Amino acid sequence: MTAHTGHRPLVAFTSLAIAGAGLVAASACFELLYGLVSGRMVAAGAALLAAGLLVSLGHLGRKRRAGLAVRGAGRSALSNEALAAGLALAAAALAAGLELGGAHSRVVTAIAGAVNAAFLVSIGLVYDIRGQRTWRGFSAATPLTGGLAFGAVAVQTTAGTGDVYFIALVFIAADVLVFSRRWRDVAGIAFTAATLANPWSIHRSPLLGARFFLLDVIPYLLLAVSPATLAIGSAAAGLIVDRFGFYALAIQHTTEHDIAGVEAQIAAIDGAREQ
Amino acid sequence: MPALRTIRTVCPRNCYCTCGMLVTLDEGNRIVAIEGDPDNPATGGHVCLKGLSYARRQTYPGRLLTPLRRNASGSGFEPIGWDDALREITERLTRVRSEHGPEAVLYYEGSGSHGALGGLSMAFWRQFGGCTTTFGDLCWPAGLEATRLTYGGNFHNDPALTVQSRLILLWGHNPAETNVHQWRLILDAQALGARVIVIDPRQTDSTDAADLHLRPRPGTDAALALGLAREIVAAGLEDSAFLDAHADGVEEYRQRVAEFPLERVASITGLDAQEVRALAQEYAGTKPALLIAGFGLQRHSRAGQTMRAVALLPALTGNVGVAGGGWQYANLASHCLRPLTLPPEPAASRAIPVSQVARHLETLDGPPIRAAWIERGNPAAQNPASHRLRDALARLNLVVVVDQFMTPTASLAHFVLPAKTLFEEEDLVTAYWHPYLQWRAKVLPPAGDVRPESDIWRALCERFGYDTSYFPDDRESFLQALLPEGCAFTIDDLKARPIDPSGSGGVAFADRRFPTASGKVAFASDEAAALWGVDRVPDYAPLREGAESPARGRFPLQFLSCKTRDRIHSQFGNLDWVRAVERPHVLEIHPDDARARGITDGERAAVWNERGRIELAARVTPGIRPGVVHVLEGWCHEGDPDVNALTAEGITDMNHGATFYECLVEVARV
Amino acid sequence: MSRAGFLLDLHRCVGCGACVLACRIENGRVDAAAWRRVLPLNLRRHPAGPTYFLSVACHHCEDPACLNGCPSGAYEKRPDGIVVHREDLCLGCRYCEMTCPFGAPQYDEAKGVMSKCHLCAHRVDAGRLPACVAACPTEALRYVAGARGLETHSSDAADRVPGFADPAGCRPGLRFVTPRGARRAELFRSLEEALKR
Repeated sequence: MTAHTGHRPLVAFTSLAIAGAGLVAASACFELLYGLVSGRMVAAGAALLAAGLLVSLGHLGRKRRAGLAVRGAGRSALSNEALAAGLALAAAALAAGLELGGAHSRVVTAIAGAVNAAFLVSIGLVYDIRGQRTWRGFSAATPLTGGLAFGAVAVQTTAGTGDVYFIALVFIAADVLVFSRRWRDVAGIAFTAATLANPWSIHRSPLLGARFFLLDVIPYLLLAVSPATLAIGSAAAGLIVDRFGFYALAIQHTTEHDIAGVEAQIAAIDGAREQ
Repeated sequence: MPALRTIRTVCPRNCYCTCGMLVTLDEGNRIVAIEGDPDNPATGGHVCLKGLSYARRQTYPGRLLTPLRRNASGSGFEPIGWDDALREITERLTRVRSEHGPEAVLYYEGSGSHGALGGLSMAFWRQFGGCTTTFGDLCWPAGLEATRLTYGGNFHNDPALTVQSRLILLWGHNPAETNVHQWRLILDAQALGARVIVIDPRQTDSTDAADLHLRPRPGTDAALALGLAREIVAAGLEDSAFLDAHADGVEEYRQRVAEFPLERVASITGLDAQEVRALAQEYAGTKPALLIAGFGLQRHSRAGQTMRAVALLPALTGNVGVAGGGWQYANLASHCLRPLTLPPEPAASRAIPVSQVARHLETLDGPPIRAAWIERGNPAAQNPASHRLRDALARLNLVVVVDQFMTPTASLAHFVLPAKTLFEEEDLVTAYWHPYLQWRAKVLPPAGDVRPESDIWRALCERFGYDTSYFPDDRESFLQALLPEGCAFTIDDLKARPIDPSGSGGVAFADRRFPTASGKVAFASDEAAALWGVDRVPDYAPLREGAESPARGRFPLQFLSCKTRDRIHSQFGNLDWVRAVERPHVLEIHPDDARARGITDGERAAVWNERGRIELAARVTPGIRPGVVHVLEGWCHEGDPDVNALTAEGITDMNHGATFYECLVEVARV
Repeated sequence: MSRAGFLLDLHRCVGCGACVLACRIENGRVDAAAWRRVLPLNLRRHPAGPTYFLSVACHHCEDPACLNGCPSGAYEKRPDGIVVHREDLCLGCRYCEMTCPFGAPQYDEAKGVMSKCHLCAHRVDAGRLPACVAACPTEALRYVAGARGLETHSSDAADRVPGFADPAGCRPGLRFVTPRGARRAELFRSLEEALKR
């Protein structure tokens, strides 16, 4: 039942959506803290978010019913996410429109930032599923921290001048803290028949490590360096590896795994007896 | 609401259960439900997974729907019409007969489909001038004869009485797989407090649930039975009253069993002496006790004497003719139909033992076999020495196979004719576990261009200009005439519910009248000695290819190829629904034997002897006795191992049975 | 609310798969994935443990993960406890496939929607047993229904056995009668104890 290992539309959707929402939320922070206004960043964020939502339709078996997805708001984490996605896109589009049109409003941008941050939280909550060993706990926080880290790197590096804005360091540090807990949680899962039923399990360290370096370490080192594309490119790649790894390393509880665990236990009893 | 109709019928497979079935069709003649017939008291409201799989099998992709002829290059088949097929077969049969005589044609019918109309083939062959058929049986004949010699006939208690047993001893029997309705009744008895004991070299689904499991070496059961008898007699636990009144030859028997003290039995069987004694005391001390012997117990050359030894234990302990007790092997109570009216048997009629078809195809002369007609069977995979059989068939001038699917046997044919399914022709079906005669309804018209075998034979008779009056114009009235003389029921009654034609139901031999020569249970039998040249009393002799055989120097492992519930022999095993739930295709080997050969679990292993060789994945499991390896029989999907490459064309000591389980092999890593 | 569900007698189940085939026939699942599966435990027959079989499908949980997570509300829990899937509301997002810890919802590639065991609600409504239950030749699989339903069976039937856990706290409607028979009951008991340690 590891049906979603590397499910491409979901990887693409969440990469784009987290990048976009992170960009909007980070832009809002930079503006509020440093007065750095970037209509183009917000617009880019909105565009990424829109692209992500379009791609997410590709995952649905019945695309035309996508509108039904909000019916469960309040009960279903996925429904909440769908609603938040719509609100996030609307707010980001409004903010971008105002900024690019010259009718810039700090309030609107702040709200857009908050709504997009909330959207990032709602993504995490979707995957906070009991019975999914590698998706619980700190893993649920990485869409927020990863998105903000990506957004901060993007805004920072396009702001030019070589000055590193403190908020960027804060967001990267937050992501480092949260992700290192996820890394520890995942790497701590013993290799059993159940975990090895997912062929990606043995590659978990390279995957998690690559994500860490690409999204946190390399951009941090390149923050003050031009050209911006290297840092942004690394962060973007890190986000994609993060999402790919997220699905690839999924270990869903199944009764089959339960049984495999018990059989391993029986063999251990057997082995112990023979000695 | 779509109109649904439900039709009562019966499963005609070679299986104990012979389940009553209810089939529900919609207006489009699609099967929407298959259920057990609650009016069959033995099978109740259930069938098994195979019965359910008929919903898939009926229209399965790959089901043969037209006649096929081998194409010119010989690499495959092309569809042809019935006229062409029958015309060419007629020409070629005629040619074989004129060149070699009618006995040059082997007519082989297997056990693939039961029904009274199956005998109509002889209406053709006898008018053809005769042919070569087979005698004996691949499965159960030694046990049948042993039971007949001992008790006078093959009858046992109604299965429903199982729940009254206080002890159920399963010997060489795995009803959890091969007789699931009996297993349900055994579980019911166990829930009421009965003890379930299984004697089997393997662990099976039946042994999993048993209260006690003994694992003797295969082929040593006669020694075990005689040893148990000795313990029973020594402990004074035999039923003297019954023996005095209803048994013959007990004194001779006592002298024989005295030759089997515990130490000797332990040494021969590999069992612990104390567990043998404990079993004897428990079996003899618990009343009523039911002893059910499986067919696996007799698949070797000492079959008849082994079965006699085991079959006498219920008589020894007073468990015969009582509810909840008995000797249970096969129940022929429903075998009451009158024989078909057939042409007189011609002089040129010859028969070969069914367990030695390969050898006879290779060597028979005066005349040699030059053609074969095979229906309701898959001998190229299922018979002993299957590879030699296959090669021999491939050398014949004409092979005609009638089957539902392209089996290994069909793939060797020159003509393959599409066979009907159980839903496509009515018939009367007897059973061999419960006493019920059942009506097999014509539920559906034959699919595609399929014709039932009875129509094929009629058509051939027409082409040859033979008398076709032997064939039914109306099957119902034809079959009505086969019901026993003076019976109180009609086909219409049978359509409404299964019927026990003996009307006796209940307890076999309750009146203690045994149809033997002496009217008593035969502990010693002149007839056995006269007919089969065996000892008057049961005895033990080591198998030629068994635990004590010198051949073990080269081939140290005994090879078993047992049955599974996933198939009836090689039927059902091609269906996707069944393959999704079936047991794995593996060689079961004990950890000690595996370790000695450097074989690890899951590795590919070769199994071979001087007759052949197969390869498959090994499963290292303590569930098989050391010194014994096992592969399930009946696989014939592409790439599957064919166990009968290894088996020998032996014959049982009585009644011309086969010796599938008398087989020594060696195993090694590939 | 009533609790409907299944009672599986581990002593009587022989792992034959008749329940799987009966479900296929009843619900027209010829080529598609079956709604029920039969899983062997210790088929290798290690002597240190019992051998038995788990027939699992949808267990109509008290707190169903599928229903809780479904964004479009395509799952409903009937008053009798049966959890049914509404194909007409299904987006095919496959979230329930991720959240169900028992593998019940199946995705149909061709139709783009999910499906799962509905306890043969159409049969139950007509006073008949679910197809799997009716077909079980050893009567190992039973249907439990009614006002007190599974609660009645909780006292003499386990809700958890080695090989079947409820990691998500969904409270599945599946109860087990543990194996009997002198040998297997003992092996089962000692396995349970070993797992507790």
